[in-house]
Amino acid sequence: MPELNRILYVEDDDDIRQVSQLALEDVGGYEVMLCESGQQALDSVASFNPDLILLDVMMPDMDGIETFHRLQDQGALDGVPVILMTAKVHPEEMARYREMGVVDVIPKPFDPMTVSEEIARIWERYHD
Amino acid sequence: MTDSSSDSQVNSKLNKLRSAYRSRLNEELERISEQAQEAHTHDDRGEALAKLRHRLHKLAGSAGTFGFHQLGNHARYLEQQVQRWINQSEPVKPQELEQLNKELSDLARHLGSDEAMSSAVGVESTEQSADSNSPAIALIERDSILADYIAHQLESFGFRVQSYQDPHELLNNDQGGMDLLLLDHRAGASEVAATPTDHWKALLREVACPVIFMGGHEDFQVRLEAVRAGAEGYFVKPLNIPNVAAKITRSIRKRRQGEERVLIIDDDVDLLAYLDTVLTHAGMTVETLQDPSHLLDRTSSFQPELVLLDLHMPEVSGDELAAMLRQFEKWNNLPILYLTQEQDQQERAHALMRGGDDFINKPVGEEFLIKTCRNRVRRLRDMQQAIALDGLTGLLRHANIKDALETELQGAARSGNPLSVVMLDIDHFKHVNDTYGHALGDVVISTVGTLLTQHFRRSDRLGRYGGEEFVAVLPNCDANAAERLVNRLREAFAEIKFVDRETSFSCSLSAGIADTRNFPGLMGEQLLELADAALYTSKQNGRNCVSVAPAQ
Repeated sequence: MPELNRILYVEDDDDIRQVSQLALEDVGGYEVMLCESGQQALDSVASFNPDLILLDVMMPDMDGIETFHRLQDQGALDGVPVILMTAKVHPEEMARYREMGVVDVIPKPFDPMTVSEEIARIWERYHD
Repeated sequence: MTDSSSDSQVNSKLNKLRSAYRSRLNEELERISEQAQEAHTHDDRGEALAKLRHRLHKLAGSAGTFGFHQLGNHARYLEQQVQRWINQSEPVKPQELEQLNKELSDLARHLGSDEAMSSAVGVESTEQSADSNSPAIALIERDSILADYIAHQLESFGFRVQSYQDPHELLNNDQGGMDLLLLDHRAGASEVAATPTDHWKALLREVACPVIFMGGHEDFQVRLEAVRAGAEGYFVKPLNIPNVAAKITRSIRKRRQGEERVLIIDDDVDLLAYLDTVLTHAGMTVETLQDPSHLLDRTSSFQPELVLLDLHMPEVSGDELAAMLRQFEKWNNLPILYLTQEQDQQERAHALMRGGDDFINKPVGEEFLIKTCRNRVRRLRDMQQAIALDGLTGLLRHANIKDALETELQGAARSGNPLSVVMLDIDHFKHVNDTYGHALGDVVISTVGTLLTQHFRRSDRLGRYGGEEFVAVLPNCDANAAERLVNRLREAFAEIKFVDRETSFSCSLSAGIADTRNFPGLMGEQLLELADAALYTSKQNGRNCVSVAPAQ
């Protein structure tokens, strides 16, 4: 299994970006790039070259789903799993996301002390 | 991931972020109500509502991350409500917006209780955790000698007791985390004189936990006052402490029974989301299912205590699903309610014959939905308890504790964790019965029941095995830990004074423990025999002590 090092997180909420830095860098020990909009993610994904992407769903202008499709069109998602960060989803909704190619959903609010472990578990399952 | 030295650094950083977030919250709550105001007045209500929903969505997604869970849950609930308004074609009614404003102001209240909660949770070591889990009782009694006596006796039962002179002193202190209030009905008598009931009602609303009154004498008027104020119990002085303790345990257990588990099947995704939100917000655990073909799997895995079935679905009807569930013996008593618009009496009668218990009419009112679900689950639990629990002690009956032991043994075998079986017996119980009568003997037995419930974890299984004999099954607990726990219980029991007219007396108990790690592969029956043999050793050694079955 390849090692998980670099995580790109697209999130428009300032508070969540700040606490994610702590949760992913300090607690999880990952290298993290935080983007505040889908556009910023499209611009910087190639240079950062992430192993995994976290996407907030409800964002103004370009939402998480559109960001997902445009990243896909850019070819930025080949071998790069995407996790959606959103409210609790129904099984039916989850099935639709899976069909799109989303690997998993982490429900918000997340616990900053354990979210890295959750990501690591999803990463393991993805490479199983 | 992190070692413990950097843990404290992370914690301090997190605390900084948390307080920064907290300092912005008031402003954010204000903006949210402004936005709601705008939805009131603005010409383009749709846009104002969309903005409002977005703010609530952000709050719902972030508050929990910073530890404000109740605030976040309430924001999620309001977000979904606004979302429904955005989805619906007819315009929002003014009184609905009025109602929303009221519920928005509740956000601040939830924030308050989140803060009270986080300040109540201190730093706790593992050794202390049992104590901080034990119920906290606030006691209001002006006679300080009596207050000390009551507090000391209740502490023997494993309660934490905090004494107050009068209601004001209680309200002026931080009461976060209080589980029950025990008070003399004459406390703060000056205010009582005018309108007693209103006074108590106001106090009880403030404390928001079960309340038990104590009174000087048996008096219809005072009892009525207690009932009207919402008290759960009324005891006449001099207090029979074991009875009070049993009542407290029952009141708190009712509160802590946990979330009601509700499974909802409907083909309408929006309605599912709505029902899910309303019931989850009311504190229930909800699972929803759009595809009825998974009904049996999901019912098995989720173990609901109530099923809501849409009566009319495209491929299969609700009454057919109800009939299917009823084919299984184990789901015979599971409450099933139909969600329907059907008014035809014959259709409804037919659906009832197929196995559903009642109807919830669409469109579904929130209040009615919550109360109906809660009531159904409560009845089910009461019935299950009446069947499984011993009436005197509230513990499992003989057959049920043996079943519970087998179940826990399987769990322990899977996990590889230790498990201890404890057998306890009241010393010289026949002498108590012969000297003080059976009524007082029953009080002694129920006292052991209360003590067991207080001293052990909720995951432990406790039963009344025979007349004065008890069994405790302690998963994840080796003989050493079990011995410590049981000794603590033994000492507490010896402290309790039973009152018989002019005299008082105390009792003791003996116990035997068998640890599965010393006897790998044995069945429940054999472990019980080993624990019983160890109990016999305790009796031989002079009683009032604990023995562990030696490894063979």
